[in-house]
Amino acid sequence: MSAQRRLLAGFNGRYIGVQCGTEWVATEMRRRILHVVEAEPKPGQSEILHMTLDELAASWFEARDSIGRCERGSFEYVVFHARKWMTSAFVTAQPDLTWLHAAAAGKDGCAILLAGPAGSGKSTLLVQLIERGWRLLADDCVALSPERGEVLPLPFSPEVRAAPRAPDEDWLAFLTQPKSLAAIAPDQVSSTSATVAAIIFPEYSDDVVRPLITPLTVVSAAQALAAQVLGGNHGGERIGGVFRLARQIPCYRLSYADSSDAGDEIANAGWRLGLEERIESTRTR
Amino acid sequence: MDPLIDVATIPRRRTVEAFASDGESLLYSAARDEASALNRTATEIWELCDGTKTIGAIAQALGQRYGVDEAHLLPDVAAAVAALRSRGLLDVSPDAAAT
Repeated sequence: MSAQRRLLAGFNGRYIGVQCGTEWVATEMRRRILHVVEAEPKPGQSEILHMTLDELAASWFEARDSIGRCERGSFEYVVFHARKWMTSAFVTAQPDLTWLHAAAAGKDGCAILLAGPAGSGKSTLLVQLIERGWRLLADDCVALSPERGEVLPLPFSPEVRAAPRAPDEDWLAFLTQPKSLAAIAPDQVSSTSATVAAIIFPEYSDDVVRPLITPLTVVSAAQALAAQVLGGNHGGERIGGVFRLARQIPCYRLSYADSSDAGDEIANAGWRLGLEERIESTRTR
Repeated sequence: MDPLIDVATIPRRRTVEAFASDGESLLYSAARDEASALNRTATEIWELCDGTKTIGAIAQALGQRYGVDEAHLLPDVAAAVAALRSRGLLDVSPDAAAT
């Protein structure tokens, strides 16, 4: 089998091998995981999961992995599952990190997290920030070092819905809308960790005239974060962890109707200054 | 108001973990694997649910604290206690209320 059909997705010393059945499958899969693909394992890296992606018949694909999972369907369907397996393998392999269902963009050493449930606009706003000079750190699954308050880059290419939810659109119909892959150039991707300046919980609302960013109390932020934690600790330990995180990092709610206006609002909010003030106050405390 | 509740003292559920900040709290119920955010007023009521006070006594304590007639507070306190109870945060069961 061609070595070009074997892809390695790496993160923080672990990698996942993806063996693709055809050149086309390999090309399409590479487009989706382009920024986490590594040429070969670095010394000491270990494979935590192995996957195969095959085209069984015309437009009928199969994804399998080394722990026995199997999904068949359209290419988008199997890739959706393959990507979920990949992120869950990274989450399981590194329980010392705090994992959030969120997207992250970085600039000048500081990062903004966009956290929230499916359909809140995380990936759309992430792309808006990238178009305004921020760099892709992560999409859909963010790894945080809880001691340092830093995001580790896990830059899966974002996938975005073509249009926001229409006022009378059924929620399920909106969530199952096909997504398109955002093309992110290598120089728009961050390869280094960044300190989290703020966590933003976007809320799409079609009756908002201008995007509005409002601070959340620690308790409200912790409650919102608790719903977005992936893997790791359970129960009170998990809640204690997000409570500490909400104390450490300022959290905000963003109400918006227009993602471009919201992108401007987030991009120009002076997070860097706030982060420097926070670091300084921590130092002098 | 539930007449049984009014004569019963209301203890917080022991297995609930509380995380407090700026007068607000986040309560975690292990039994339900559920977190509830309480604003300042609800937190005060939660803290007064110490197992020695009835709803009337809690309303009285808050009334004294804020110089408000406890009769005005009673419906709101009863509603807050009912909400806390419905989320499994208080140890109020028909058995407990009857004792």
